[in-house]
Amino acid sequence: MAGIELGSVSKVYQGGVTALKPTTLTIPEGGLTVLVGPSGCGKSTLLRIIAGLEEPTSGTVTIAGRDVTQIEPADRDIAMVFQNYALYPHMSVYDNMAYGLKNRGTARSDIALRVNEAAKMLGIEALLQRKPRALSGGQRQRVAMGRAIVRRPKAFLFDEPLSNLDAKLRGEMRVEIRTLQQRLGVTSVYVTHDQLEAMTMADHLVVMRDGVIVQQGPPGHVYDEPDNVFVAGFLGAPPINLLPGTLAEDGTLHLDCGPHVTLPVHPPLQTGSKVTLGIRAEAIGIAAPAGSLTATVELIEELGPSRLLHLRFGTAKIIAMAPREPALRPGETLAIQLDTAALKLFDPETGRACR
Amino acid sequence: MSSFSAPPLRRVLSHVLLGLAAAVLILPVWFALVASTYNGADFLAGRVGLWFGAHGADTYKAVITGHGTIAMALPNIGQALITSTIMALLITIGKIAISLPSAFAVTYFQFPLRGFWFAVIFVTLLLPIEVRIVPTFQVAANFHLLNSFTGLTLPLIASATATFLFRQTFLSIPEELTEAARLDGASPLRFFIDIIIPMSRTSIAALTVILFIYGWNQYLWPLLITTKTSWSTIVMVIGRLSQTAAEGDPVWNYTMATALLALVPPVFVVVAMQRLFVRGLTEMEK
Ligand SMILES: Nc1ncnc2c1ncn2[C@@H]1O[C@H](COP(=O)(O)OP(=O)(O)O)[C@@H](O)[C@H]1O
Ligand SMILES: [Mg+2]
Repeated sequence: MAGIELGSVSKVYQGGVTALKPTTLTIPEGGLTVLVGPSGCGKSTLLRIIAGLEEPTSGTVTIAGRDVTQIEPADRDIAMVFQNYALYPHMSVYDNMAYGLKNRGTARSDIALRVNEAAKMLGIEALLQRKPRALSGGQRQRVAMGRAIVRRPKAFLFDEPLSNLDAKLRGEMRVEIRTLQQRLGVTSVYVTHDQLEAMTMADHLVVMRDGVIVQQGPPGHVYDEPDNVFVAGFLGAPPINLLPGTLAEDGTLHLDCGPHVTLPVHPPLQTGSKVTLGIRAEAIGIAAPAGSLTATVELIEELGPSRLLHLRFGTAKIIAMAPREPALRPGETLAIQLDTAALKLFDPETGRACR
Repeated sequence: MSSFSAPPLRRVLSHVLLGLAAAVLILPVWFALVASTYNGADFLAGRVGLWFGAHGADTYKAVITGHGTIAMALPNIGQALITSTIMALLITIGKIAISLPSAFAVTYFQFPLRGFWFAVIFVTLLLPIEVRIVPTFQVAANFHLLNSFTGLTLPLIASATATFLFRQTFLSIPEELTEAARLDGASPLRFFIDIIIPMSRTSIAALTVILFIYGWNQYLWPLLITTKTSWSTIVMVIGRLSQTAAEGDPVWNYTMATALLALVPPVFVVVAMQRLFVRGLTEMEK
């Protein structure tokens, strides 16, 4: 119970924007929790409430068992890494990292010890006397992390820290942050709008939308068992295929785009109900013996180890992830088979999963 | 950088244009320099041309020592330069010292009637010394501020111009930096000293130049508030000399020489601040 607890925290900004509806959330100790959702869903607001940079309209914030709702950010024992790094441009890397400790009255020798230790950990020892402007994006990112580490806080907060880096560096830093976090074992909250970043880094994934947490859990579980159409569509690339249809008497699903799909079990729905079928690209296979379902290849995207097939399925377009063999050509019609265990049904009105 | 790679014709053209502009700006200074090398008789005989005369050394000796070749008693230029320098420095430092904290207050703090106080500061912009000169003089006289540096500078310091410029500068400092400092446990005063002031160096340098020249060029107010010639500023001295010249005594050489000497301190300030200015610009991110 020593992680971070939010007790029905909400935020209405001046001017009446409700950024966060009353939200209760437990952030597990020592792990990396990722808040993910589209831009404007209130992730940063939630993080900033934890940091104390934003005062919640209602609710309480508890960090490591201490109620910090009324406590100044500096006294919350947290450290934050900002999107634009927020390094002081006129200070050297060393001074940037030391500033927080200086303000807390840490002894000089102790500061030097901690800064050097953090610098070594991040591989930026050679840069300590430089000014931020003389650093590359990745180096600035490391300094920003160093500044957080030297504080030895109870929690790290990250607000989209990698969004200013190019794709390759982002991949590297992702691994680096993850490794460092695991090594230090400090409770961390990481905000991103990038589902790949979220999936790859999270111990605990929290998906948000319009100021509400829509689902949370281990990333694999959230991916496999989305509670609703939004989560299903938000996680995963290529995005999940969504096909509207009607449940027929014999338990098959008559898709609006034409084909009929046999469901493994009869869903708890009345015959004639409208449903949305969700099927991920990797759950669509090319059937060796001709199956009952066919699709026409429209476009092939090579990914290297596999490829994406853009298929015309009845009147709808779907995307399948397929191995590189056999050779295929646009215009070709092939038999496909759906992994019945991976079929998801959603209520088209509420978006909720039918289980 | 781009001028190095520009095609030759464009490069030549832009240099010609720059040269022309520089010539236009330098021309009055050139005339002053040339005029200062003639003597009174040359002026009366209309012998002054575009090239140096023969009496340059005499003129500068006279102006610096205060012993002219004509009947008039030349004022003490050294003293006037010192008075002007001290006055301009006090005005510059005073204005910046007041504007920095007041801009900090109106930018970063929520306090009751903030908008109102901001407006009050704003109103001082509409009240330069020339507008309020009579009441200001009365107040200064009642406080016995005639012939003193307090009297010379205080009424000129009390205005808000610099507050606005600093507020603009502070607003351009990313909010993330303010938040980082908050998390780093910086008190408002520490934040002001450690972050805000160093990050405003460029603006401070630019304002120092502007305010120093503003103070240096003051004429009307020093004329009113000083009654002894020992308190004359250099601009007042130039004024008196050109008045003498206009009345028929051809002291144009002394006038021009004094005007040129009066250029030295402001130019020094500009050059000194330019360095800081450029360093500040290159230090900012992006
Ligand atoms: N300081 C603010 N004042 C008013 N509205 C804000 C402020 N900050 C954020 N908002 C609004 O609150 C909502 C959530 O913002 P934010 O938490 O920054 O979203 P995210 O980080 O998920 O993109 C948005 O609609 C945004 O416009
Ligand atoms: Mg955000």
